[in-house]
Amino acid sequence: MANLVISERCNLACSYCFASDYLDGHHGDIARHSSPFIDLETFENWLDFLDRSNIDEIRLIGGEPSLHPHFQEILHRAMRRGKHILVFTHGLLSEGALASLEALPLDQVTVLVNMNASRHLHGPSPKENARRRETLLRLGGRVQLGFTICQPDFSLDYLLPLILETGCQKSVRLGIAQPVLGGRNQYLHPKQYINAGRRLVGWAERAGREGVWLEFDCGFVRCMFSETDLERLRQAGAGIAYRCNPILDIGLNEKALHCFPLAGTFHTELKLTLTAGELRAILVEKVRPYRLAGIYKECTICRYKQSGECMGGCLAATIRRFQPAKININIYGGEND
Amino acid sequence: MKNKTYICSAGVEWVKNSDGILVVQGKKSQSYLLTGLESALWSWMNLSYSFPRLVSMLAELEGISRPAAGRRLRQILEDWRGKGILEEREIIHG
Repeated sequence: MANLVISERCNLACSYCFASDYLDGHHGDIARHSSPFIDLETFENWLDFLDRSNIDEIRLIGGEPSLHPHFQEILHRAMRRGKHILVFTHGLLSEGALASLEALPLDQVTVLVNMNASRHLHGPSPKENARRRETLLRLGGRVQLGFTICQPDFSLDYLLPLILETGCQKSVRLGIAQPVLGGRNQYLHPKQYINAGRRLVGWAERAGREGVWLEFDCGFVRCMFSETDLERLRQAGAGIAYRCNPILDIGLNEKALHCFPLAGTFHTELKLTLTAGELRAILVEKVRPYRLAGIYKECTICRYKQSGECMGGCLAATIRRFQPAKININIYGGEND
Repeated sequence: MKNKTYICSAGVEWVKNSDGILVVQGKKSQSYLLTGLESALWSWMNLSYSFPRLVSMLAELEGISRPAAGRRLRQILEDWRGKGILEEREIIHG
């Protein structure tokens, strides 16, 4: 898999956005690209790269990818290569973007709509929810709902009737808001994971009874659930995973990123002569020493981390636990021993 | 007289975990796990304790003489220098 950043522009302002620093131009040592949108020639080069890497799914991300002025053309070019297209969007789409997606066959596109994306600090307004509902009604089975948990008392209650009403896919992809390394976004602190986990289980059971299941995105950890709650999640059909792996984000500046939360620190030159697997291996090696730790101090003695069942949470949250060493010790010839 | 100073190499970071202190040198993709005595010394050094104070604390902790503690401390510092965690700066005064 590879995520292609086709637009560095977004017209919302989600407090938890882990791409915000990247989009604001705080790329660490990465220079900002001259245009916020991918040009079509470069996009074709990326498609060649995906072909060489035997990647059949193209994942369009941003920013908000639908803001690209040639969004429809990008979709068509990906379609012509026989790619399955996954679009990560806030769902408040222009008529043009909506029509472009609506025209694609159900089996060739998935539109992942982030349901709590908003212009407002406290979450979506009624107007935003109404527009998003319209998107869901128009795109139907092409849509999978996404939700980012950024506070422990989150509510998913409004999603269930929406799924049943609009005919979108009967699954919800859940993410945990993660901290940007050196950034300023809102995120769910690892100390809050247990409370969030408990809340999640109750909703998963209610959803399961309606045939709707949960899928975990990266950053979940096994210890946020009790054994009983894990069994309840399994019974509810939840797609449980505790992963943190680089998907490989390809940015406009000819850089391959580990992920947005680590964008300013862990990236490599996008050499199109290499495959996605080779680029991913370079990034994996860069972060390898930090992988020994996890988001909790106990992760290093956890059998689930040692066995690889749990990755120990988001690497950005893990690296935030580190502090710079400050040793500066002076020895005077030995007389002061 | 030799006036030797050990400082951290650039980019060295650390975190305290349940099994010890993990020291990472990101630029070299290297990591070291410090446990027991080394873990305690690392924490104290990062609190900017002076060499004489560290010698006293080490002597008390290990129940050894101050000269023996001084030799042990130098040995550990040299070991860390060898691993690339620390760098040595030596100033020779006339």
